[in-house]
Amino acid sequence: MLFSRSDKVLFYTTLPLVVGVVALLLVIASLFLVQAWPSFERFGLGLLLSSTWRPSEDPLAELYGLAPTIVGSLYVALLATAISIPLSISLVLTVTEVLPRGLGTPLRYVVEVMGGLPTVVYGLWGSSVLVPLLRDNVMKPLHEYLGFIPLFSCRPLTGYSALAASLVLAIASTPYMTALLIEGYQMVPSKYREGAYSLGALDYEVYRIMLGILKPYVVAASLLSFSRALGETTIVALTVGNSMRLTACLLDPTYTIPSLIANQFDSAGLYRYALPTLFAGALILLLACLVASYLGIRIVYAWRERVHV
Amino acid sequence: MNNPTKALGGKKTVLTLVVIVAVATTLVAVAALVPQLTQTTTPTPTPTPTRVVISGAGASFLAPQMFEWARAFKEAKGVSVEYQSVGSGAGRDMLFKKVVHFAGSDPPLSKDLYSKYEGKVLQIPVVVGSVAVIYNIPGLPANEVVCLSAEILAQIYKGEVRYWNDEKILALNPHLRGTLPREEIVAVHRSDSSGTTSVFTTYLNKAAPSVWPKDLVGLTVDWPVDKVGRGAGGKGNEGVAQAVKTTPYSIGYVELNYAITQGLPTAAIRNSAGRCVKPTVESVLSALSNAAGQLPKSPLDDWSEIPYLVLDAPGENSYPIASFSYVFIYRKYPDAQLVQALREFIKWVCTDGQKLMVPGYLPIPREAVEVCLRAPELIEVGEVG
Repeated sequence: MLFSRSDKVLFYTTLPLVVGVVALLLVIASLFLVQAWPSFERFGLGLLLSSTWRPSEDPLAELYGLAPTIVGSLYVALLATAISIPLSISLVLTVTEVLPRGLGTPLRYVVEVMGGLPTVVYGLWGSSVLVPLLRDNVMKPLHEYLGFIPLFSCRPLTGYSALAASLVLAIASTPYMTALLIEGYQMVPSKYREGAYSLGALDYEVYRIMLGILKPYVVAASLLSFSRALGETTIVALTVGNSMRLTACLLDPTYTIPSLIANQFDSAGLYRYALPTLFAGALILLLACLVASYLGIRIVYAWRERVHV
Repeated sequence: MNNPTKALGGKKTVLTLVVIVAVATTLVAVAALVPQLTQTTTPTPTPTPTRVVISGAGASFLAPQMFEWARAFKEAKGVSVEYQSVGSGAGRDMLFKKVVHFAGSDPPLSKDLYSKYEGKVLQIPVVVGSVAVIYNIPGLPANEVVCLSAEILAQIYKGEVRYWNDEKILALNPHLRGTLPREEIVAVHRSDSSGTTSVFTTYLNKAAPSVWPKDLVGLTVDWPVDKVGRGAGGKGNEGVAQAVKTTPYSIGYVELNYAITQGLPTAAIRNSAGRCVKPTVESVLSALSNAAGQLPKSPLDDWSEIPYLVLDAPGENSYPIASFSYVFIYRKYPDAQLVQALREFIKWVCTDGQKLMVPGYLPIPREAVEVCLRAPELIEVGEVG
């Protein structure tokens, strides 16, 4: 395996770093498990299935159930990703195909810069500007006219809700997803495009063919974006309403795991089982993100090999 | 590329060099960081007296006042005080793990913790806070003030009083009959765990025990009003204020200093003498001085009942929702210079410091100053704890 001296030096100097990175992940995961164990032991499955956050100085009276936060996290992240897929795809086509290069490239830069903005900027804008606007112009009409659909059956009160959080989150994660997709789009070998044009395809048909090839990559980018949305804290904590209630209604406030940790970590140390419960939440989040990211990355690799034959 | 092997070899050397440099930089960075880390995580102060740094952490409510004190104390005595605003719980955790020299906390130690640290930890009241009830009722003239009682507040937060023109509210506000609308009340509360929630719910429990039971008291509460779909949470005082501002017909509670600086419409609360009193510096201080006679005499005493005691205090002009915030310190520290600095700091905080209050923060009453002044005498050199 190791051919020359310089190869060996390279191998042995980078080895500790590589091992360190992998070890760090394992250490974090096992630390979380150790920290979370008392909570798993005490509450068992109820920790995942019930919905309560009741800290108490008397450990016997403490009761926690993370169900709303687990469901809320998945719900909000799924919805946000679903909203940002069409946004990102249209941005990709606009930037790479429709606009002339002189306009497309600057727009691409703008999108990339937006992806680098601190999330708290989106969160503050969302909570102070978008949420009241949404409540009065979107949520109230939705509830009034489509209230018979369970998704809109609850009355919007403050506007802080799963819907608001997903929307702000979608806006914030669109640049990331767009950047991923542009990269993928440019990786599609030009022979497909050339072949399509030579057969007399119209622009629109070429885009459809290109997107068809890109489809697995879109799935992968969505998974990566979903994994990021799952862990997003600031935006969600500021817009989701932070209410410990299991609900399917989009207009109701709900909770997510990162938001729960952000809200409760300060004083969790005061109670015996609060901190372990937060660690249990963090562990669940870590596992979910790992699975989503792993699937995403695997699909990307498989796709790259297939598309380049 | 005339000589590909050579070019490749050159590339590799460069790569190896880069890697070596990267590793070396990492090592240097780590080596440089470690002493810094250990310095901030273990309270081992440097030997010369001018270099003593007092470190503290805790309640975010205390932070603005603590920063002001730190600035003025540095000017007056030349000793730096660092304070991290991490929350009451995290702050005392850091104190117990001996990461910081003192902790700031809104609630005093519970009975359990007190018995665990009895004689080891001093609890010193340093500042008075109060909770204001804010509301947003479109159409209510700005000069009209809504008066509420503990029973009504408790029933609103339980979801039992549903409309602004409920007979119970109108009975306390006869002049607003016809003005208060038949609109549902949206009850906004803190979503993060907070000393403000603790003070507010303890007050409801003390003044209206039949409506607001003991298990609804604490830093975080399972709000009954959420279950009926008329409750909403906001993160921090800002979050609650924002939710109330943008939600018509809502009600919320925030720290008094926040309500004052933001100019939010504030409710009067009916006190134990049956009068409606607005939260002001005078009305809060009046409440505290009426309750001050029952304060413990020493920082080493059990303070766990005090939050309950000072709420709903007697007196015609007393605003019923008030509380102390505390500084916790150990009684013994190994370093003589640190002990000296801590003594001076505490003494300064309860004398000169009380004249430097940030707007909305209130100085402690005379009886509490006496307790506070006892603390410097109790701190001594010895093994920590």
